[in-house]
This record gives sequence, structure tokens and C-alpha cells, in this order.
Amino acid sequence: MTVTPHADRPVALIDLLDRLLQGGVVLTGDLVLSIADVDLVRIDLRAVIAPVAAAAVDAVDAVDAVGSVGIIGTVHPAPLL
Amino acid sequence: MTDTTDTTDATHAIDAVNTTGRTGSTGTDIVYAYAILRRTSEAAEAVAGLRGVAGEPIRLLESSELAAAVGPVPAADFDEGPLKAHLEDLGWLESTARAHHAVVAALAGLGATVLPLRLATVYLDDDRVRQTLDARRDDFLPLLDRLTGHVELGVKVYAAPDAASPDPRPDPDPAAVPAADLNPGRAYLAGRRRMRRTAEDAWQAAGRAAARLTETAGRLAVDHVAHRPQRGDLAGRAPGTNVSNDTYLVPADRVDEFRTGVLAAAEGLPGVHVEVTGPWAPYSFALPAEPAR
Repeated sequence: MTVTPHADRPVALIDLLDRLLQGGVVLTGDLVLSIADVDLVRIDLRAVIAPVAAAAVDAVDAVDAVGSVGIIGTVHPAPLL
Repeated sequence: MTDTTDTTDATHAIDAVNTTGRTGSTGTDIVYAYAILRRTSEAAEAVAGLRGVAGEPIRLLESSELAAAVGPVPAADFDEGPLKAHLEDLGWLESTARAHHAVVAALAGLGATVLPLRLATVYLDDDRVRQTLDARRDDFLPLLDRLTGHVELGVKVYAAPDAASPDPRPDPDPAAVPAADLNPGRAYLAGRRRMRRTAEDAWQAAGRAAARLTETAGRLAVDHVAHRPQRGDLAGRAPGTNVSNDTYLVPADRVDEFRTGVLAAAEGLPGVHVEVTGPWAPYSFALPAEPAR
């Protein structure tokens, strides 16, 4: 086994996006835009999943075709929220 | 918590004070909200000097026992239309996420218990933020109590067949006799079988490591959230295939014990790589149930 102990290095963007796009308090109401809704799907697919990966292309197609958040369940084994 | 929370990002937020703010010159400002915390004099001191996603000064909006750390940002960038467009831009997304995180990390690093808000939580004006604080008060206060004195630690397990050392075990498989005894075709196939076995071993070892880590980590943590495994370009030069990407809420005084225990639980497994990240502000545990809409 190799390990990476607590390292003093910059936070990886992907670790940050895991937390900022899936975690954090979700407020509703008078927001200008709710990132918790459909945009989370788009950001996740385009930024977190490789845009060129075949799986992501399939997923984007599926989302475009279905236009539903639910389809993401096939891409993400873990619940989004 | 001061000694355990990421201070690198906190420093960035404070350094940004010396840069020229980009807001306030022209156009309308709207309100970007970063985190919710208890209304205390320490909180008020903590925001002083911080700068946010648009270089704007951070201030507190207060309402009864709660406060929100907010900053004015240009509507030209953060109103619904432009925000939607910006979020498609990975460069913009990254700088905004890092600036958001810098504010949250600075507040947490100064000892405040924070409920980080999701990226791009933007309101049209201060009153709407205060109304939200009031409306969700009964969610936020117990959550702040629960998170006080805790930090978040990420644990990622990778299966890395290529990193596995050559299998030291004697191979009982007759097909794996020295290649010199085989014709090239059979030697090739035997080699392929060995590689496949190494990869399968690494996957199985990673699976076992993940299970043991979950058990060990679960004993030391008070809560646990599974993020989806990391894939794709953004995962970067990962040390293998990410098989689990979990995050734990850990008492701040048990951070070292947690890290040591988790790493020890994965010891001796070839082809398995474990990465512990954090401490983070409790992003993944700041999710009270939404009231019915």
C-alpha cells in the first residue's frame, strides 16, 4: 500500500467541487439561480466527468434526450444530495 | 479548530485584501452568500479583511442568533443568465470555487463553526438573506450545535494494479511456467493471465481495503457521506482507479487518530492507494432537510 499522509498542498479542484456542488447548505426561495437543480447535472457532467470520456458523452446525450435529473442515477453510483 | 483547519486557503482570502476590488465601480450589485454561522463578536472580527469571489469585502448579515457571511457581487456576472453561462466555464468555476472556499476556510480557521453554503448561492438583496436565516433558524441552530468542534476528512481508496509490486507468491498455475518453456503465443497468453490476475487482485484488495477503512473510520467518526468515485480529466494524475470517495465528520481532537487509524487499516495491501484529505469545513454535513416546497 502507498499512502498520502496529510500533505500541505493545494486543495484539488475535484475534491473541492465534490463538496461545493454536492455539499453545502442548499437554500431555496429568492435565489437568483438554484445550482441544486438542473445546473448541477450539467456542471457535474462537463467539469467533473471527463468531457471526452465515452461514458460522459453517453450521459450527456442521455440527459439532453431525457432532460431529467433522474437519469444521472445511472452515471453516479452515489446519491447526488 | 484553529490548528487543524486548512490555513493555506485562509491566507489567500486575507491576502486578497491587498488586491483591488472589482466591484462597486459600475452596475448593480447582488448578494453572494458564503456561510452561516452564529452571531458572535468573534464572527464579526473573523470576516473583517476577507475578500470574496469578486474581490469584494465580506461582511455579516445578522438576524437574531444567526449571521450570514456575504459579499456584494456584480449582477452582470452573478445574476441568473450570466451565472448560468459562467458555470459552463471551467476556469471561472475553478476560480469561483477556490475563492468561495477561501472565505469558508478562513472563517473556520479562525475558530468559527460554519455552515458552508453551496457554490453560487446568490440573492437579490440583503433582506432576502435575512428572511432565509429567519425561516430556516430551526434547521440551522441544531446543525451548528452538531458541527461545533468537528471537521470533515475525506478518504479516497484507489485500486492501482500497475503500482502493485510483482507478485512474490509462487504461482501454482501450470500455465505460468517460465516463459522460456512456452512458444511465443502461449507465453503471451500466460503473461496476459498474470496481468489480469494482478489487476483482479488489486481490485479485490481495494475492495477489502475500502470495507476495512469504512469500519475503522466509522468507529472514529460521528457521521459519514459517500461521494461518487472520482473519474475523468479532473481526477488528474490519480494513483489508480478511485473505488471509493467517502467523507467523514470527525471530532477536531481526533483528526490525527483518524488519519493514522485509516491509513493503518489499509496497510499491507499491494495495489491499493489511500488518500486522506482535509481537514475541511463540514461541507458534506451541512445539509439539513429542506422544508417542503
